[in-house]
Amino acid sequence: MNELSIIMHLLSRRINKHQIGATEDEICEILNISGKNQSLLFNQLMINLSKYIEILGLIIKFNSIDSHWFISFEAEMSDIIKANPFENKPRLAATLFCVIISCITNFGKTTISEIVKLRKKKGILVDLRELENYGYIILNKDSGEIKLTPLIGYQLDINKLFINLALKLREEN
Amino acid sequence: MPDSMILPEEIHNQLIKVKEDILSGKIYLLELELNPIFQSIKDSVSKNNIFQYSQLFKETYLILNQKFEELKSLLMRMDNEQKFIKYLETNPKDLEIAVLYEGCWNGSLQVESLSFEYLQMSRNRLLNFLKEPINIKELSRLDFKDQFFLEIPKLKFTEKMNEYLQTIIDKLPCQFGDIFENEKDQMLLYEHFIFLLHLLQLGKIKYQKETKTLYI
Repeated sequence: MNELSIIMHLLSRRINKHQIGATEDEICEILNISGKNQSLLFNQLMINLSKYIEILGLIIKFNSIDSHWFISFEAEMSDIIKANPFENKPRLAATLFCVIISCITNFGKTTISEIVKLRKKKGILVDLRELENYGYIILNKDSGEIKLTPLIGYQLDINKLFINLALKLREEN
Repeated sequence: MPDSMILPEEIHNQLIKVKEDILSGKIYLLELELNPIFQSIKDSVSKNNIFQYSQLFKETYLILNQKFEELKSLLMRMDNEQKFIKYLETNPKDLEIAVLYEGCWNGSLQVESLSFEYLQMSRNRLLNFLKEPINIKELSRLDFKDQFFLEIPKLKFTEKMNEYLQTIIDKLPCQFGDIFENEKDQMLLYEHFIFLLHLLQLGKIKYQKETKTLYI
C-alpha cells in the first residue's frame, strides 16, 4: 500500500448520503503531510494520481460546496453511463434549477413559497419531495426552508450550468 | 518519429484557421477547446524544434488569454445574480431549462470494496508472500579430538583392477567392443574402461590395433 492507494481509497469512499471523498486537510493528516509545503505536496500527489487514473476515464474533481475532493468520470464516460438522473424528467430538472438559482441569491437557503412563486406551477411540493429523495435538497416542512446538500456539487458541474445559462442569455440579448 | 506526431507547420495552420474562425464569428471563444492544441504542442516538441514551438506556444497562449478576457466580460455582465431570477420570471419551459444541464452531469466514482480494511488486508497478504531474507549462519565445528580419517574404499585400486582382470580373462582374445557388450551400468562401464587402460599400460593385456583385438 502506498500514498496513491490511500488517496484512491479516500477519494472514492462514501462518507454519508450526501458526501463522498475527502478534504485536503483529511488527506494530509492521514498521509502525515504538514508544514509550509503541505499544499505543494498535496497538489503533486493529486496530479500524479490523476495521471494514473486518466487512462481509466476518471478525473479528480473538487466540490466547492463542502470542499471535498472526489473522483469523477470524464464527460464522455458520464454520457455513456447516463449520469443525468433527470433523463425524461424535465419538470424535476427545472424545479431543481429554480432551487439552485434561488439558493445562490439567498445565501444558500430558500423557501418552498419562493420556489412555488418562481415556478408558477401546481404540485411543486411533490417535485421538492422527490428532489429530497434524490438527496439533492433538505426540506423543512415546518418552516418551509430548503437547503441544497453537498451531493449536487458531486453530480452537477454548477459553474458549467451557469455558463450555459449566461451564454443563452447572451444569445437572447 | 511516430505516425501520429503532428508537425509544427500543421499546428501553425490550425492556429491560423482558429483565429480566422474567431474573427468571422464561426467559433465562439468560450466554446473553443484549447486543450487539444496545447497537447499537440506538448507531444511533438523536442530540443531540435523548440524555437519553432516557442512562437506557437505564444500564439496559443494569446488565444487562451482572449478566452479568459471573454469569460471575464461575460461574468461581469452576469454579476448581478438577479438576472438569473429575471430569467426564471420569464416562465421558461421545463424542456428549455433541462437543455441547460447538457454536459453538466458527472458520474462520481464510489468504490465500497476499496475500504481501508481491504487495502490493509491486501498489504498484509502481499507481505506474507515476500520471503524472509536469507540468514548466513556459521557452521558448527565438530570435535574429533585431532583424529580425523578420510573415508577410503575398502579395496585398493590394484586389487579392484585385478579382480576385473579375472572376470574378463576367459573372454580373451576378443574384439575391443565385445569386452563391454554386457555392461549396463554407465558408471561401471567407466570404471572398467579405466581398469582396462591400466592393464594395457601394465602389459597384462595387449591390444592389436589393426584387428582391434585384446589378447594376453
